[in-house]
Amino acid sequence: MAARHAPMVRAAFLLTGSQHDAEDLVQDALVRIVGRWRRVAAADDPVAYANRILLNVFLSGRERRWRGEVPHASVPEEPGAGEYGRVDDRDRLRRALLTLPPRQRAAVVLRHYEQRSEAQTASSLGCSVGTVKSLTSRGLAQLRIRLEPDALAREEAP
Amino acid sequence: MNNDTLHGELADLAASAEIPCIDIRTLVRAARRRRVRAVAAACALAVAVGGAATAGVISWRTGTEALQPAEDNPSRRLLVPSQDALQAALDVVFPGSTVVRAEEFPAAYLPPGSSAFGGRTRLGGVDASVTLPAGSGLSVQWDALDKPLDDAEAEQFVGYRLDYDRSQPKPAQVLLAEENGTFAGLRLWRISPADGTSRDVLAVWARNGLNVVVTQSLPSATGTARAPSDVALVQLARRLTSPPLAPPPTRVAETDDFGRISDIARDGSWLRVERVDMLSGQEAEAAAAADGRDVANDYYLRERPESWTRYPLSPQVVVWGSIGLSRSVEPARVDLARLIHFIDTDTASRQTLFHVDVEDGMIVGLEEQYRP
Repeated sequence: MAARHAPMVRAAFLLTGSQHDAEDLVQDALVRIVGRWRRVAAADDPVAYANRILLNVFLSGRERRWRGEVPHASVPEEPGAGEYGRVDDRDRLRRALLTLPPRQRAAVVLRHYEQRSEAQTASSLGCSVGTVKSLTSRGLAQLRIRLEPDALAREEAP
Repeated sequence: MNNDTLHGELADLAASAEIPCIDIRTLVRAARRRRVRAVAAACALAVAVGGAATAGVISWRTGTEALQPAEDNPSRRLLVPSQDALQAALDVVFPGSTVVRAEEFPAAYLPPGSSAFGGRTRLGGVDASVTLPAGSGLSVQWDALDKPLDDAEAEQFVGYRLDYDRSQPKPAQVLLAEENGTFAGLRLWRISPADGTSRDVLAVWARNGLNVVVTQSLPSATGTARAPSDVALVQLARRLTSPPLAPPPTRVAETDDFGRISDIARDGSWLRVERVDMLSGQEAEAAAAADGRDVANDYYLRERPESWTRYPLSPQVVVWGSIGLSRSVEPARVDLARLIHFIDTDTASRQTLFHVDVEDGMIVGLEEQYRP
């Protein structure tokens, strides 16, 4: 379990977009994993079982906690140079991920960060492969809309 | 942005996360201390039901010995060694009933050397489908989850919630644990008589066994299971079960659609989707060129007003809004009433595109496509 801690935190960071929320999410999941350790250890794939617990905690928390979002205008950002630019890119990606509904976000993270197959992703999310395809394609379309204009702006900048 | 690029960018973002230290002993202590906290309404209902007439009590004996109804020991978990034994146990409560579906319970959940039959629910409990005696035309599902609390096994029930999960066509369930570690629980399900009507049922397991509360009156039935007639219980159960649960489909055909909502019924029973193709990449370039237009933001919308579909709308439809529907950059859940008002009154709805989730020909999900 200790060996899986760092990967879980990184995945949780992508899912929540926040260091604090990621630590809370992983802590919550680990308490559950420890509580049912016999089952986790006896499972055919303990790592997959533990990952499913993390996902379930994330999805059940996010979809229940609908926060009435206050609309605000998007502030146009100037792309930074060098290392600052890299930090800007990471932050843009982080914020773009947060615009995805929870299940889309989870599908994109599972498919494109953890590089799981569609079948594995479907098993983790408790849905069909078709739904995974749909969730992923919508998520990627949303990310492209959010991210590509900035990429185009950087290419055009002097 | 291709898949390789995205993977690299996600990995780079993930690597920026700080990895805190973990204290295994703290986790173990937290797991042992963990208890499900009762929802206030659930407590009130359990207290109310505890004093009501409780026909239809089910009690079982644990282990692999021959099952005997344990009237004097209701707080035992059902572990059925075989389907025949399950049938024998159910005959005690519903004489003449027949098990119509049973599955082997996952071995990882059982003590070594034992086996159990029941049906797995989404939440990992035990249930069985039973057909009540001929003439009643009813089928009932329930969970037998009344057992002494084991710390490790308690985690099986953590995280359940009372509110109905509208994204999944399956009943919701909540569990509460009493101070001495004996589980009790609530379970909602639908009874489907042969005449095509249905009843919503709330069942409460208290320390004296299974109590059944019915939100609407049952047709006449034989057997020992009867519902209390206390009006207050029915009203409370009705609040907890609203809206009515959809029966879980045995096979779901999932499709999706994409386009504008051009019309919607005032009562939310149906809506009409005019299809729009959202193209990207080379496909977008080709389509735009054919239409004499340009591609912006790497996507191109091709209108197809001749291709429209009128769909029935699930009362439990999950709706996510964005800039148009919820006036928010971040996605936000909205209710059906808000969607109806938006389509009916807001001219912006004509420019708003939705992803549409369809199951068995009925819309179960709508999600506004964000467009800058």
